[in-house]
Amino acid sequence: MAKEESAPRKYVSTGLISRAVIELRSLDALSRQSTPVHKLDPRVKLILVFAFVFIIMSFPPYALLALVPFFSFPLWMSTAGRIPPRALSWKLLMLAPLAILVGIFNPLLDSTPIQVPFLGTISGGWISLGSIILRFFLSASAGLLLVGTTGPLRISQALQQLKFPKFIGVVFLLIYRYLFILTDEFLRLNQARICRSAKRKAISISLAGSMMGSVLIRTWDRAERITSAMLLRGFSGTVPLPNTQKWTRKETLLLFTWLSLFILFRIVNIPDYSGQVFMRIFR
Amino acid sequence: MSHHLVICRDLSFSYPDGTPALDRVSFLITHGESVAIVGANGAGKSTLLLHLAGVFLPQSGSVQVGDVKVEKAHLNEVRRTVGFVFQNPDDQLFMPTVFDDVAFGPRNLGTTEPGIEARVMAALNEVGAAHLRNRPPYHLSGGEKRSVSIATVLALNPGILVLDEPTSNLDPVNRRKMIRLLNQFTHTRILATHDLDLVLDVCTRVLILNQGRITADGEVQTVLRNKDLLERNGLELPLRFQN
Repeated sequence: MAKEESAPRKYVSTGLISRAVIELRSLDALSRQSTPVHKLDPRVKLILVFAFVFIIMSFPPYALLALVPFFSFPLWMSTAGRIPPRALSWKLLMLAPLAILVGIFNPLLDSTPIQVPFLGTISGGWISLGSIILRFFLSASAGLLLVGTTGPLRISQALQQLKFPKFIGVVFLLIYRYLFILTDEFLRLNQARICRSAKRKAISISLAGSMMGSVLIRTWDRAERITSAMLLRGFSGTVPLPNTQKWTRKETLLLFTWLSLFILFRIVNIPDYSGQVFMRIFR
Repeated sequence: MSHHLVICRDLSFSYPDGTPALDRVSFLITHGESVAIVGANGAGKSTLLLHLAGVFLPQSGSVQVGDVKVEKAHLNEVRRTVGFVFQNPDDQLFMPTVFDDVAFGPRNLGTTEPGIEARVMAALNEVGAAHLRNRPPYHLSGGEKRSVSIATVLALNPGILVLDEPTSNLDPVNRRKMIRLLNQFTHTRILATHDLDLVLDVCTRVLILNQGRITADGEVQTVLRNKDLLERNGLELPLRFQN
């Protein structure tokens, strides 16, 4: 007993996770708005987001400035789709550690000196870490905006219409649904914990472990019940959905405009080019 | 009308960890009957119901729905006849909106879109939930969720309705609404519940389960007035008979 009391304990805050759940719900609620972007055929948004991520990933590792013009796409989606930046910022911050983890060792491993305008010479590792973080923010915000302006059902439908294997659309829909269940279970368990924790707000690592185990088992049970409910209503591996969207000239125009812009941004380093033009004028 | 018969013959079932759940359960429920399955916690009520819908398959004995045996080859047919309403509506509702959730079953059956709208709205109207059509299920109140989960099943036009604890977690007003709703149905109704007053209002026949065995099967007014029998099975007299 005495040993238990004297042992140093590590605590993690659960406020962030509760926040994550609220954030997830807010995105779901935003997907039911009716804006020009929400009304677009989901296929055009899906193709654009895929192309966007693909082109961003195709840049060489030291690309930094050249990526900046790509912010125009998420900016357009969020303003025209009325998704407030606040709805994205928290989610992006929560996902950011993943991106940092991918590139964290780059500054140690890569010391190639690289000349950067205004900043002088910087080691390549830092540039590539910056590039990874920038790419992450761009692609994650495009993905979140796709969900926030389309909703899981229409994304799943678009995947089916674009001839992706049927199970991909269904798996996407189910993962989305199970995410809500998982977070629901966690919140319930966490509330029970808080009610019996007196003034202690944080949670010990060992308790967090057993709580996560319990959440997973409960989620598994619920997932089984939901699957039974689906099977009982005739689910056979696909979710048939009505085709209410029509591909109009507006969709074609948007697709080609954005695709051309993506290609332009990929071929021409616009910030660099405009810098050169600027310098030439004032020299 | 043999297609709305439910026949269990010597049905036995144990969970994978060896816990016995059902022990030689036999009964016959005829078309249009309203039957309650009551018993203490862990008596096997939910397990029995899951057998009727083919979620569990008999380990020994048999279950027959209409002319069809509940076995792997006939599951589609069985599930078309039996509409199963889960105890927790959150398990039943999984689509992003109420409309899509109610439409899920009919769409799986291949109903075309003009027919879907009519079927979904008919089912939602039947449970008084038409105004909820565009709402996401997780934003509904407990009573609304329950009504919508019944609508998801009604949209499939089942001949037999199986309900697990239809009034659990409902406030008195919503409980009363649920009783009215259950009484409107002309389907064969089989419900598992602890709410014996509900049984008096909705059912004509009651089966008592105790540790996986049927210990009583009879007319509601007779069985639910038998204090000794109820107490032997971990139950007590319905509230209205307690004075």
